[in-house]
Amino acid sequence: MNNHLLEIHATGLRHALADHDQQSVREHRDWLTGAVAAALLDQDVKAMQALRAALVELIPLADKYISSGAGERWRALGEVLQSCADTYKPLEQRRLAEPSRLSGLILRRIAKESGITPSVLAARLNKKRSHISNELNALEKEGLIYRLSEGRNIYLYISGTGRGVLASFLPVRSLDDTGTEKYLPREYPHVDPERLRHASPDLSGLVYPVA
Amino acid sequence: MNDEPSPVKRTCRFIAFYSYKGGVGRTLALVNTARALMLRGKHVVVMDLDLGAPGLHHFPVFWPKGGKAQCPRLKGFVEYLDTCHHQGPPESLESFIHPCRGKPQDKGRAWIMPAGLHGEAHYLEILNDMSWERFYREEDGFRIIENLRGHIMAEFQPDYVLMDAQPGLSETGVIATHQLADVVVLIFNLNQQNLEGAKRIHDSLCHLPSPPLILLVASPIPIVPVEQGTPFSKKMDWIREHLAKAENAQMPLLIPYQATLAFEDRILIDDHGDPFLSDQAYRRLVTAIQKTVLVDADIFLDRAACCWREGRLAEAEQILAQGLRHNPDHPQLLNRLACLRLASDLIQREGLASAMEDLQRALQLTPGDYDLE
Repeated sequence: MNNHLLEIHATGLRHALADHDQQSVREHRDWLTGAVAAALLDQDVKAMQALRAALVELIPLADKYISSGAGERWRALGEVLQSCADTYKPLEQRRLAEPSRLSGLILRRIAKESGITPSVLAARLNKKRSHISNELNALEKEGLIYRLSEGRNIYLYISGTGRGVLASFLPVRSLDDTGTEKYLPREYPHVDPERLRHASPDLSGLVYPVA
Repeated sequence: MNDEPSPVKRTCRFIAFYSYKGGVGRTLALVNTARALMLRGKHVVVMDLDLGAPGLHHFPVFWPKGGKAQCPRLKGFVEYLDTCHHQGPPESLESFIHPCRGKPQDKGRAWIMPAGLHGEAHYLEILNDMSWERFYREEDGFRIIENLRGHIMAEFQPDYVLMDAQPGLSETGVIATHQLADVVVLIFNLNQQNLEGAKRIHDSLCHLPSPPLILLVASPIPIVPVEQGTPFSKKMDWIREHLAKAENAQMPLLIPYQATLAFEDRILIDDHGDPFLSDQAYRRLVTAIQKTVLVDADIFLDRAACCWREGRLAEAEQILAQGLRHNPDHPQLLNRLACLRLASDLIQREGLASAMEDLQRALQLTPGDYDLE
């Protein structure tokens, strides 16, 4: 987005509002509305932040000079911009990363097995390769994964954006001060305390006692 | 005053069916055991913990009630763990444990906890992602499994929970045999690799702080000479020496080889039309399980009756009282105990011969024939 143009229209709108120049108000307002729509559609975080800053100055003026509730509408628009700019996770990316979707499962598998080939990925998920190719294209288009070719082989990797989006789907785990994941405590109402008393104190030893 | 009867707490036993190697008839043994128990009026939950190759869903008798006449796909153990992982233990198990259609002649009820929606991408994804070591060390795995155990008992009040454990040295196999089971039915063939594997699990179980009881089952065994010095006899000697902590190490149960079962999954307990197939081996297994776990009223009634007939009334009374601790609402146990106590008084007043005559008559009665009031 052109910041110079934004400055011109924001200043122009300020003056037009103070001068009650309805024609100029409409022109500058339409340009700014179009810029907001473009920033949202392009997921342009910097443009969103710039427009949000401009709106913060314009909202009190709208409240003062326009009686039709324009200030309220611009305030709402500013909040939308703020929230989209803050999450850094555009909606399409989040949609693709949903755990219940095949694309979400693919993304998680690639995150687990960096460099996995599409054939192995398809086998892991019990799908045909043709079935997952569209999903891979969509993930790559959104910047969640990338492919590296070596000869005829293709290897799949998760991108930094992909990891960021996946991190937002961790409802159970939380990050402690050191940045490591920890498991939140839960209630287990049906556990028999008597059995716990007799259990092996080394619980992890239960899993591999025969090894 | 609260007139509502307090909920009856029946003792439930968890039985794991385990084999070190596949193909020895583990699942068939479980299915036949479940069917026999249902026919005997027991409430049974069957759990398919063979997550890699689940098989219980192949038996229509365990399909859910009112479902379509085809193999259903239902949520089960894997989805339960996933739910616990993301949301904590669920309030109800109805999404993961389903009532079975059974057969009209069944006196008991059954429920199934399938392995899960196996074959679907999400099922494989959960299994691929699962780190059992982390599950136990960091994610309350032990408590989650213990909670499932308690939840099954609270929600379904079964008499038995039968678990089809994953073969080999697998984590889910160990969960069934080393954590959940009160009894492990250890099934093996008589070749050396089966026996070595059985010994490995046997030794491992014996090192647990509270080891489960172990029942040995050799399966499937062809009809061979069994005299001293034969290969069969030598194998039995090996078992007596190396699997000595098992309840029946002196004489393991045998399930004979039946060629028909190599081609199709047939539940012999339900198969009354074929005169060449016998379900006796499975019936012996069920009786052995009942005698080993020692919670069923039938077993206490039989033992008490033996003592009673031989005039050992005090011992009979003890056995009946022990049975009532596990089955507080059982009418036959209550009636027999009441009869016995009345008879003890009678003996003191009328003399032993007259009392014994009355007792013999009482033994022939069924619970409906007389009224305690």
